[in-house]
Amino acid sequence: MTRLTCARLRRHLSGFCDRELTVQEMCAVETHLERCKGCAREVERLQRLGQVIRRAATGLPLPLDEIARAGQATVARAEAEREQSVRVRMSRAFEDMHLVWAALAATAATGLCAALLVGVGYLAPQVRADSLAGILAALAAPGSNLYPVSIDERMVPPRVVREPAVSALVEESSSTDDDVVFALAAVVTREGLVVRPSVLRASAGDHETVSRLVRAVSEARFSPASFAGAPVAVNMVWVVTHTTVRGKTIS
Amino acid sequence: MSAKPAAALAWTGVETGEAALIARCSAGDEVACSDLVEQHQRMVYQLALHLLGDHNEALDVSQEVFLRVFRTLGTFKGQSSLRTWIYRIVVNQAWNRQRWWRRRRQGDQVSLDEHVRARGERAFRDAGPAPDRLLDQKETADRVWRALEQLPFEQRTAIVLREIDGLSYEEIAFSLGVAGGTVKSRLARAREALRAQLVDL
Ligand SMILES: [Zn+2]
Repeated sequence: MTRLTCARLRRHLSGFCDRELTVQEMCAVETHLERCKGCAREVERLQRLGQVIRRAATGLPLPLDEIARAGQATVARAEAEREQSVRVRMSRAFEDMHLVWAALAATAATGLCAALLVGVGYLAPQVRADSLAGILAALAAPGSNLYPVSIDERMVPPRVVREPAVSALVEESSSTDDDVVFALAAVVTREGLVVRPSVLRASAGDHETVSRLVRAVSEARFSPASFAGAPVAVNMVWVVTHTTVRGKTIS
Repeated sequence: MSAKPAAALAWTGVETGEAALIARCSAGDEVACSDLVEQHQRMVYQLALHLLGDHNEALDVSQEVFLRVFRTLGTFKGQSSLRTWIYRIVVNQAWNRQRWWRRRRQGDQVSLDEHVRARGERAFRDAGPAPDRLLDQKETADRVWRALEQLPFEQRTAIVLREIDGLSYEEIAFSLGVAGGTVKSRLARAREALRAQLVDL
């Protein structure tokens, strides 16, 4: 690429000014510019154009307050969207189970309101998430059966395929008028099994009823939660409310 | 045009701190999201302003850009620096905007001129030149923006990313979603057109 004619060279001047030619091309252009005033002037004009554009840009106002306010509003909006999407997906995922229990409740002349909540770290390994042990545990295999994770909006939540057999419990409990609230935490494994159940709260009911409820919930089967197509183990919390229905539909 | 191996691109520019911020942000950490916005909001607004030439449009686009960033951060694999990746989103959003914006503009000349008139006189004053040169500089700037506005969007974007933001051809190519050779020829054409418009500057 020696002895470039001016016409051929001019096509390369823009790339030359940006220092984006190959080493060979850069040398060829430089050599030519030493001898050719016309092309050297053209390079100067291109460089001057760059300066003029940059100066025009620095002259523009920069309303930092307004920019910051818009930024904060965006973060708030993103957060709201995220929460909304988790709520919608969770309620959609557990509609089926809710209906099953509502039907059972109707036959027993009581209302059984079942809700499944996101396990907000209830069953997470008993270490601080930001401790060294916590980080190592998470690195080991987050989402494995040993290290279940909390459900978030990027996951497909678990879906019930076999509901817990709670009908016996419903009938048994229907003899009492007291409102009974159970809260159970457990892990839904990558295989869709319910393991490591633990009672978080049992406001009423004898020991036997509670342990039967735990057993019943343990027998439920899920299609596991998944993240990017791969099954993950997740923490879940069941809240089972048993109330006497007084002519009111529980929705 | 220097040809850099594509493999060298992988994860370059994504610093450890940035990777951690991205991880926290895509897990929904609000503080991390705020930090990410704070770090990039100025450059996002300015690029949008330079591409669209309208303050309010630029603010709107900035918001859309960050919402898009949050929604798609999970797909960011370090194929570019985070900054370049955000540039690409700004360019896409601005492109979507300007298609109808241009049409609306025909009968409605609210532009940088007005924006500068409304709030920008100070910016020029603060830049320091003597009062008699102030008008010259403002007039020059107006002419530059008008000339840029007349370029096709792709050419304007290439020249803004190169001259104002100082991006390399490789980064511009990524931001525009085109090959490096295309960037080279677009810039050459854009400069030729601008030189013809601004021949006396
Ligand atoms: Zn020559």
